[in-house]
Amino acid sequence: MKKLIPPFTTFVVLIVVWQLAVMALHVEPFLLPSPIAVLQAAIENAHVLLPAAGLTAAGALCGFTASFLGGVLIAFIFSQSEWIRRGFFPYAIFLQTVPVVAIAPLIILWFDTGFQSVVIVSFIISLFPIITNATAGLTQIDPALMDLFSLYKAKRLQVLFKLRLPHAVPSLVTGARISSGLSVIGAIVGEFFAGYGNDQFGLGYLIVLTSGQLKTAYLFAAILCATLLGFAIFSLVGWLSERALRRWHFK
Amino acid sequence: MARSLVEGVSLPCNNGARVKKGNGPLPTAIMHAMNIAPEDSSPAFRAAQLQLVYSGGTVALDNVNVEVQAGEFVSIVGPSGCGKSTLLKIAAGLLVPSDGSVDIHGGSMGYVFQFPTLLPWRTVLANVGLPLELHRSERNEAAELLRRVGLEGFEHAYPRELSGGMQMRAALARALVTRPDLLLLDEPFGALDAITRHRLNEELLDLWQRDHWAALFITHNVGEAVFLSQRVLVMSPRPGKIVGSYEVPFEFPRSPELRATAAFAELTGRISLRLRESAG
Repeated sequence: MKKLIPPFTTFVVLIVVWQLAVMALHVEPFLLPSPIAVLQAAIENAHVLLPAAGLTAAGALCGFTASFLGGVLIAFIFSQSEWIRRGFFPYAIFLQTVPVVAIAPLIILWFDTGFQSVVIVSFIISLFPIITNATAGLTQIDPALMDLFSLYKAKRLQVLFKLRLPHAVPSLVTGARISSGLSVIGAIVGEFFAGYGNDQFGLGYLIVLTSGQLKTAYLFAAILCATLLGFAIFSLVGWLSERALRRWHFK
Repeated sequence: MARSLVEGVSLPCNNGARVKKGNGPLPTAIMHAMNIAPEDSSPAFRAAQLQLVYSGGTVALDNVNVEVQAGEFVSIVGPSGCGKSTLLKIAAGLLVPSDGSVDIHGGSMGYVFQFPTLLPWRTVLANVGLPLELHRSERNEAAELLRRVGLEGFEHAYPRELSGGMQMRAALARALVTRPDLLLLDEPFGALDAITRHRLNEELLDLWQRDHWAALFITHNVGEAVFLSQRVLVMSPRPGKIVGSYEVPFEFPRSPELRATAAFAELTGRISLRLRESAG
């Protein structure tokens, strides 16, 4: 509990300074709304914000799940053959450096606008940490441990299930943590340019909409929601990974 | 004379492996008191004319010949980089020599690595049982082995919860769990403090005297080699070859006090000198 006092104090002080500064300097509300105005906008528009946050969360979670499963599958294939790993890994890195915004028109061309494209963008952005971390976990094993398994003439599947997979868990968890944060960013970026066309829309589209209408307090409320959502998903994955890693940590 | 004594109890001495397994403590005790290996046409381990040349042309091993009789404890001492660990890896089949042959009688072998090499996600018990699991063996002597190395009560602990010495005991139990005829040990106690190393040396001898597997023990610590072995081989670097062989005459069981005797110091000193000469 005591640990929470310093960050909470900082928070309160910042909010108060912000409120006083806006009031004292007569800042235009469309440039910087006061915290109270942001709160008001959030409450007034809760009926829009909450479903939007829900949709963004769904997009991020779908993207994260897809990248987790896809990334593990790809890492798994990479781990089975050094040839495949050497043949494909450079291109995997190359693909990662292509800016998502640049291929957005292609995604819309192929998959149309809407939820599916948001998921795809989230997937693309969050895929790489999983691939790299899982591949490292599956392959960068202490040579002595590999020797141990060869000594007892372990079969390929035994090496996989009794050595590679358990060895990969900690790095996979690291990858999942990084990836979970990225999946929310991916969903919001995806909604920026592909999040329309449905009846329902997410936080990313709401941010574009409100900034276009100079509803800055509303925009701040949407940003606040997006931040809280990212934090929530990151915490959820963090909590799950703590559970998965229990065996690796000292009691 | 000594041999006829052993034969006098009419044991199948033509097969060393059978002598040390399954039979009462008397014959092996006699053999070790007499400090002889059983007469045997096929030793527990034989490396003949081993040659290892790396692709760069570096000769790592040059005409290395090592024989370990059934139930015999042999150490190889040498400076770091002399190829002694390489030799052990070849013995275990982890490396393929450029030339020469390796023969392990009966083929069953245990290996103790330089570091405990335990799987961190497995309990001590599950680590010790791993070789049996990989062989899909019905037997489960992991708990028994843990008791024998003094780790009773730590079955469900994880490796990181154990001290370095205890981790090494677990590694030892794992190497012995398949009841090997030959144990290969690659500087297993090198990373431990002197007191723990001495204690583990004594425990290792206890285990050996109980089951009499043949042992090939690699170390750079001459005192350790003399304390443990019936025979000490000296290896020189670049290229790695055997340049000396010393019989260790001390009787078994050996007590810690042996280390404080003049004879022990004399032999250790002599081997150390030879080691220094050969290292150049």
